[in-house]
Amino acid sequence: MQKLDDAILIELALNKNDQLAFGELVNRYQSNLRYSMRQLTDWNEALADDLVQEAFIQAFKELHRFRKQAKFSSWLYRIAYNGFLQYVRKKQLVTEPIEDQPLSANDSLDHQYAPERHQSELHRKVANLLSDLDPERRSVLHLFLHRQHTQQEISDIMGIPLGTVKTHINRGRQSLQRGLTEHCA
Amino acid sequence: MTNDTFPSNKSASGALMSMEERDTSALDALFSDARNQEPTYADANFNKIVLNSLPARPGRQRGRSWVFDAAGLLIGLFACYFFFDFGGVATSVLSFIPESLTLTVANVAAMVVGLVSAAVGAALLAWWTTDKAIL
Repeated sequence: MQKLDDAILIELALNKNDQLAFGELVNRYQSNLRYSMRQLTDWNEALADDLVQEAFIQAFKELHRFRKQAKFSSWLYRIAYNGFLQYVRKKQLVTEPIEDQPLSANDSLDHQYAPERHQSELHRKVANLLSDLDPERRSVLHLFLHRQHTQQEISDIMGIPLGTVKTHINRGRQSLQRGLTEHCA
Repeated sequence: MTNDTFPSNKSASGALMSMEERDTSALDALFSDARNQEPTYADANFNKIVLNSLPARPGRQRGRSWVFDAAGLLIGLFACYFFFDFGGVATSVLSFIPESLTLTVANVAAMVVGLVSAAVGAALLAWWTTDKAIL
């Protein structure tokens, strides 16, 4: 049912140029994507939101390329992830210490939906652990451990071979566990 | 979703737990907590910002797509006509045929159809691969 609804919204946006239909898709998927990008960018909120915004714009421009049999959320994640990779390649991701992170324009929005402080720290801790991994492994581990996708699904979403996904998961989990142990020590 | 590959949060007995499971149980628990307490970031302002940044129309129009495809096809045909060595190909193909064999009109027709089909197939494959690889 969910997929059918997405398909109708995409058709409306594509053939009738209905931006409100696309707005509904933005509304539907922005939360998951904004959280995922925060995890990939070591909780750099401004950067994460910029990447998500760019991903939605790119998706709108390339909507005619979307294969109906795929999940829109997966396609969207791949676009956002590709944007993140481009950013890393171009500028070398700057990992700012959390305490020194400047207030972003989105902070007020975050406060509006602010979870408890300990919850926020939990998510930042996860993002900080992931930041020790290279971008591709980081994304694989996020999709596997947080989003609970199967290895095959991750392979499809990211467009990398299944064997590579398995390697990332095995080595990435060990690396994250080491990081967690050091963090707790 | 396959359970055999996904990290479980179940508390298996120590004897049954593999070394890897024991090593990463704290990690799985951390991600499980994060998953259960994932905050919501849906807000109308972000929606407005995205909608205001969208171009006037989504993607390329289907009509324009055909114009580009047709233009590419024409350029390809012109390139073939001017640069392709048809005589060389014919000589190569004929060299595979034993001299003792007498070619009938049907043989030659089948050969031409086969070669043209292979060329069209290769062109379609190249087009599909390029089209798919763009995003």
